[in-house]
Amino acid sequence: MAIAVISNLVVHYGTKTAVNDLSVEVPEGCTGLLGPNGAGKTTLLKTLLGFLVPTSGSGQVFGLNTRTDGLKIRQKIGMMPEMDCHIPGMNAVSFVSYAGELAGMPASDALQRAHEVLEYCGLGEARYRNVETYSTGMKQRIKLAQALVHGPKLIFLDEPTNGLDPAGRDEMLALVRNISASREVNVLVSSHLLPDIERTCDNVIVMRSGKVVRQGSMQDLRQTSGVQVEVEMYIETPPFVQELERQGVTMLNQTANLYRFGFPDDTQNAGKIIFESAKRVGGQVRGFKPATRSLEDIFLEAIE
Amino acid sequence: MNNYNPPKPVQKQQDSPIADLSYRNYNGELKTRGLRWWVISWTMMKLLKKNVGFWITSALVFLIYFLNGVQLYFTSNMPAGMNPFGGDEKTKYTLTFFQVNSGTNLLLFIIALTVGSGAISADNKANALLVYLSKPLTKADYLLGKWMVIFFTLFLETFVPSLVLYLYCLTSYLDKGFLKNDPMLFFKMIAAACVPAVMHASLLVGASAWSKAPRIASVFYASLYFGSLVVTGMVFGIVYRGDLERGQEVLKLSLSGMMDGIQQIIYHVTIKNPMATLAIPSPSLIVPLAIGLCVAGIAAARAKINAVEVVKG
Repeated sequence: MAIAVISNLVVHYGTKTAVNDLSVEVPEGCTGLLGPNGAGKTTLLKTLLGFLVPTSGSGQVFGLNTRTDGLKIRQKIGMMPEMDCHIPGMNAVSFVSYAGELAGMPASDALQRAHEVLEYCGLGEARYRNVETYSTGMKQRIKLAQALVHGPKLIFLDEPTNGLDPAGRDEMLALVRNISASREVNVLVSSHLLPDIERTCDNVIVMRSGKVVRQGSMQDLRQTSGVQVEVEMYIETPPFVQELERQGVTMLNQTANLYRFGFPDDTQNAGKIIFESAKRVGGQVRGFKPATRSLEDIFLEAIE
Repeated sequence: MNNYNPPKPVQKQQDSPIADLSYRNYNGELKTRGLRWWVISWTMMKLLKKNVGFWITSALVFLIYFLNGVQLYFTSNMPAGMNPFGGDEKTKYTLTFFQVNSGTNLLLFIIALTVGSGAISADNKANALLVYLSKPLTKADYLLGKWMVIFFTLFLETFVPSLVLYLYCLTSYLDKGFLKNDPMLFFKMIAAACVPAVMHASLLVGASAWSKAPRIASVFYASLYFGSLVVTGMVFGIVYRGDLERGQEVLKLSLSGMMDGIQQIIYHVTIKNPMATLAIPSPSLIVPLAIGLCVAGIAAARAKINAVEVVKG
């Protein structure tokens, strides 16, 4: 079931078209929104939140119209913006419970929930510190905490690992994965960092120049067309490649002693062909496996 | 014999069921959005508690009211010829309330700057509008919340000491015609307390919304406040050559003059001093002008409040 449906959406910034005739369905679970800078990712999020009025087209989030039901939509959504944001003069507990109250939580519930969410986001020890004194990593976490406090059904994470060191990035991605694994919250992650999306998302939407150019589950997108196999040889073995090419196999790419071969579609036993060819040229096969495409391959293919 | 008891393995915290660190969503009550502006106002007022400057200025306002109470006490016991009200018992109390309101206007301006200059500009600086408007709040909720913080604070700054002074007069001078001379004084007092509160709140939200830092908003608003005073003062000096009776309408066109003038209209008192007798100003010019300025301030703020930078062109 789709949590958000966008049909023929057009958004203009003055004379510039940011999103052009975009139609997309955001499925349940954790979805990655990928695209180069200026692809329209953030514009799409802002339109779903009702911050921008589209020139034409329609959008629905949880069956609610983005043009007319902005408040009801925002009640069900948590937003973690890309840029640093906080309420001046507040410590973390006050800030997060205030965010909860703004979303309609009773004050006592908001305070209790603020403690819970801050603990969950790893800010338990620093909860009484003024947010303005936080490090970049902590500011990212508190943005996540304020987005989660009112129990949204969908959270938008705009570049959630911006400015984080490797350890902080790992922790943030683990948090995102954990939240989406709870099955209570759907997550839409906008990022241009492919490894982040690869580690956290079940589905991917790739955008370019305001349009969706590829969409699907990570599993489906990773599947290669035809029969493709990755082979690891002991050393670089050009005769082995020539032997396979003689049998109608195509070498798709090579990185040192690691090869990717494309076999004809009707190939039944690629393994046997590989081993027999290696034996014939005296090559040594260290390993082989059916090839899958990386997210980078998918992304580059989509935006080319 | 083996006496060795190996230590029990330490149970990891995450193995314990009470330390379940997995994510749990909130499924409790969510109120309708009717009073969300109040959440903003109330929280901002709580933050104000920590501001020392605010408390010092507030104490000064109370001191002025206290001194006026003391003055009232002494003048009540003076012979008619010696007291500054010239024995005009009918307007004595009303005039006291007007004068004390008028006398605290500068302090109220300082408090307004303390409370209001950062009301929206600090949010602009910290990108807090994204936090506010990504919640189920409208721009109007946000603006009303911020406006009310300034309004309530300034209103209470005037109303509370006025009420104390009123109760003092009520208990001490009831037999001297306090209620009989001006039965509507209590309501006039409330209306007069609203004047600076509404004007500062409306103009400051506009100034604050268009500034990226509280200091910039303060400088802008102070320039407007004192600038209008200087300009009207110059016009008064050049055109009316210091004739207060003829030129007072011009002086009432500055921001502080407008507040003063509207309060004088509300209290309906004529000020008699050795230099001149200042009649009640005509409301036909200053009231519409003040309302127009307030509307302009609020409209300016509303135009600037957006969750995202609106790019045009």
